[in-house]
Amino acid sequence: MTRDVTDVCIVVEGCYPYIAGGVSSWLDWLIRKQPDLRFSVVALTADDVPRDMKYKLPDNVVLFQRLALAPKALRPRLSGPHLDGAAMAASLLDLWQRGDPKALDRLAGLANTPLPGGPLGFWRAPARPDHADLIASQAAWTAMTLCYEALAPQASFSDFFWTWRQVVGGLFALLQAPVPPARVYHAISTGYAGLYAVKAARAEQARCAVTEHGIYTNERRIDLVMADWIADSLPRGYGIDDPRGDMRDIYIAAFEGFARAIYASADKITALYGANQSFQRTLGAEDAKLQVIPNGIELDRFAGITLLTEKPRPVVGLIGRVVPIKDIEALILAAAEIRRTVPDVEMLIIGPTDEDPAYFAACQARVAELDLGGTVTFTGRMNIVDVLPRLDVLLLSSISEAQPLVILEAGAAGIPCVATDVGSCRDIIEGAEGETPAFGRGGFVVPPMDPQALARATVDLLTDTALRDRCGRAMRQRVETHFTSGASASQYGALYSGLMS
Amino acid sequence: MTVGPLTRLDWMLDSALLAPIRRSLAAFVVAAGPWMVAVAAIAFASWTVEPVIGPQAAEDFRLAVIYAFALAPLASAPISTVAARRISAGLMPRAQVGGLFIVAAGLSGLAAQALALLVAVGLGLRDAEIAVALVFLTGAAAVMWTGFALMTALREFRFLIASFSIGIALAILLFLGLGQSKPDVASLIWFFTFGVTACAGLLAVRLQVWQVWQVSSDFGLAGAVKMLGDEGRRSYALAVGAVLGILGVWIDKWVFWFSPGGLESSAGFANFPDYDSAMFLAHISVIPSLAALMAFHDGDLRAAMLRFRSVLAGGRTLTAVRQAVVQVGTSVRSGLFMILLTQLAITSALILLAPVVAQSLGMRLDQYLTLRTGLAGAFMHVAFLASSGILLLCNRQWQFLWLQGLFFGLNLMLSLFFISWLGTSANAFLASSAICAGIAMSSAFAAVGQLDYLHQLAENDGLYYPR
Repeated sequence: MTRDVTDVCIVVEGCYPYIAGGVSSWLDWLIRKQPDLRFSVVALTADDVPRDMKYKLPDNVVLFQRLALAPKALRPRLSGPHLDGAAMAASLLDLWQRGDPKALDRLAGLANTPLPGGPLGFWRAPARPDHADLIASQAAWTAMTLCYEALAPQASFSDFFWTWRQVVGGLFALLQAPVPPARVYHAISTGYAGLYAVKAARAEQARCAVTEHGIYTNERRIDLVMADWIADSLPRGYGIDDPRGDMRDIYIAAFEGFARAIYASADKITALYGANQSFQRTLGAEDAKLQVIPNGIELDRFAGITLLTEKPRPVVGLIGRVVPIKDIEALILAAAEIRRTVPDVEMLIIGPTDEDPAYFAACQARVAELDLGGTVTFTGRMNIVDVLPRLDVLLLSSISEAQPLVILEAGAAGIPCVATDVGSCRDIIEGAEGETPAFGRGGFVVPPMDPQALARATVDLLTDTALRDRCGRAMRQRVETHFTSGASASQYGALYSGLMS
Repeated sequence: MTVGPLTRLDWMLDSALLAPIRRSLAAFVVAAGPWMVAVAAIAFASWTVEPVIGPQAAEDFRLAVIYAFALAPLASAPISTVAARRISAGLMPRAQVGGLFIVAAGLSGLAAQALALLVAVGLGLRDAEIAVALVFLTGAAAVMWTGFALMTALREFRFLIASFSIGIALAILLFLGLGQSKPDVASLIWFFTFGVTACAGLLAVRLQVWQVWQVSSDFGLAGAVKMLGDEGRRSYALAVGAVLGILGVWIDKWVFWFSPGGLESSAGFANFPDYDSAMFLAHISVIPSLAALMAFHDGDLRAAMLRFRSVLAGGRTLTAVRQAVVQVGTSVRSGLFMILLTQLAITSALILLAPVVAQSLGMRLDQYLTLRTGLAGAFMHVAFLASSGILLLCNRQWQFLWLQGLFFGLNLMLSLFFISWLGTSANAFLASSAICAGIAMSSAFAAVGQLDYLHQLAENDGLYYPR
């Protein structure tokens, strides 16, 4: 039987095709923009609960595979294979603490090599350990306790138990997962997706690329620091230099270790803008592998847009998911400030509200509390081409972003923007250092989590028509020059052909 | 405020002087309660009605009771063990226990009746009235046994003792009141069934079984059936192990009953009096240890386990967890050592006194030898039971099942071997008990030594989906 080897296998964690917007939209675009290439997609999800696909897979995706990082836990068999817990622990710690790529190879070998049965499985032919053997056997317990002693000997063992099962369970799930044959494995983040791509590329003797929109380790760090499901078991007080490891540190160390191993093993590492490369370098990425490929947009979609001038009210819009990382609450607080100067302002929050119902409810409560019912509207998902003509200013209040498409899209429509100083927002709005020709300011960049600054910048634009027109023009020129879909797609095409050759 | 005499008595029994006696009595009843009912019935029957109805009819009555009390646990053990496990794990509110009792006791009772019917037909009992009475007594005993298991899981020992006492008193009153009117064997069995049923009924009242039919209850019988089924699927190794454990205790007797030397009573019950009477005494000799084990599990061991769980749940370090494991191990070793040492002293004394006992009961030499071997075997069997209990504490259900199966198989094969080689002897029971006690004890101590691993990971049922 001949193997169906695709050109590119995309490996993506926790988004496409199950979550709409952001990276998922970009990925859908990327695949459709390479019609001559045949793709496979491996989507990593937290568990195996059925999910609805939010995207129809493009025609050039010939294989789709889902991989649950926490499959249903089964009890290890009594006749399970004999595993070496100490060796497992040593490899795990090499990966966890140092990001040693050879440790990943050793763990992949451990997870996939047929082994003779243990004392009660002497009659069995050598067999590959299953997931339960790797995370719930006596050897796994030995490995877990050795990892605990090395990583967090003063922390709660019970908490470590669950942390270890989650981190290592996900790792072994991907190391044991089948690999669709491909010539290039392209991970859309580090973390588990990156590890899978590295492992698959080694197994298939193929090439591996990693693209990071945001820096995965940074985003995980933010998530982990804010997470209320992680208990702090060590009373650290104000001792920020306390070297004792607690659960948040252990998770962060794991993701950093994963990133180091991935950067060391990948053939190409791309970022959306130069500032992100410094983070990648910090975790060991070599300059020779690094490349910047900015996002681009389809200018044709926005060419016919004419901004409405005769409107009953000035309109400010935020286009994005209602989730904490977008800091929608900051926008609501800013709306209250803006209304003081521009009483008839209308603030639209345009995007899905179903991803984090608790946060959406908190935002609605804040709107009610500030009596902003006539000012702030949650519209839900809308077609961006329909909504852009109504906007006077586009606002982005995110705590973390990479290169937000919505700013590029607003820029293509000639709409000035106010955004927080995250990701490449400053480059898009104010222009990169040494921009030639210099197009000038396209809006304002303000510190994140500062509703007052957001409000001041928005009011400046709303109350000065000339400034608004000037900024809108600058945005349009910059996007048309540097951020087109065609330019971005051809750079990815070149990346793939370079790797395949 | 005035208090009634019962409350006063309760206070007195809770005093520093009398509380240990009360706890010992409770443990005694919980550990050996149903068998004490049987022993008391047999003793009273022999004492009160044998002169009236004659020795053959009295023998039929005694055998009917023994058959019923041998068959009832076979039917009730798998069901009541699973149901009690659900309760003792703290997985169901008190208000739902009544529904669970109805389902578990109903299933146990029906299964026991079916089993008794099979045995009655298989043996070809000559008297249909005795056969019918046997079937009902077996069913009632299974219901009582199930109630005992559930009340023990709820730790409601006081009411358990009270219901047991009232039930046995009713049976005795019937014997005393009606025994002199020359009743037939079936009537005697029905008197006894009445006492057992009364005990089971009182347990049902205490468990508030009517709650399951209340309109406000969202936990009906269907919910109880589902819960029992789900738990049964999770704990079937435990249920099968319990059945094998009971079969293991009886299999040597059954081999003798159906051997060429076996006898048949006038009603048609198979038996082997020479072996049965000696082994009956041997088994009774370990009731103090069973009671002590019960008290140990509910006292020191329970406290040590609570400390261990509290260390885990309290977010302590692995070092602290391991210290708690060591404390549980120390508690297990010292508890078992004290119980087995005491039992060893009792067994040794009884072995030395065996000639006197045999003479006073009119035993022959082979019975006397069987009694001595049986006493030693019963001691080993207690050690086996105690170790099996520790394995269950560590949730080693499969190891428990394997050991009970080994005991059953060894006792069966060695009984067949010894009966053809030596004739009447308790060597098979002694040898199989000793071998299994050795294996179980080493397994139990090994399990306690890795309690952290077993409790948190390997035997943590909450972690796993069924394969």
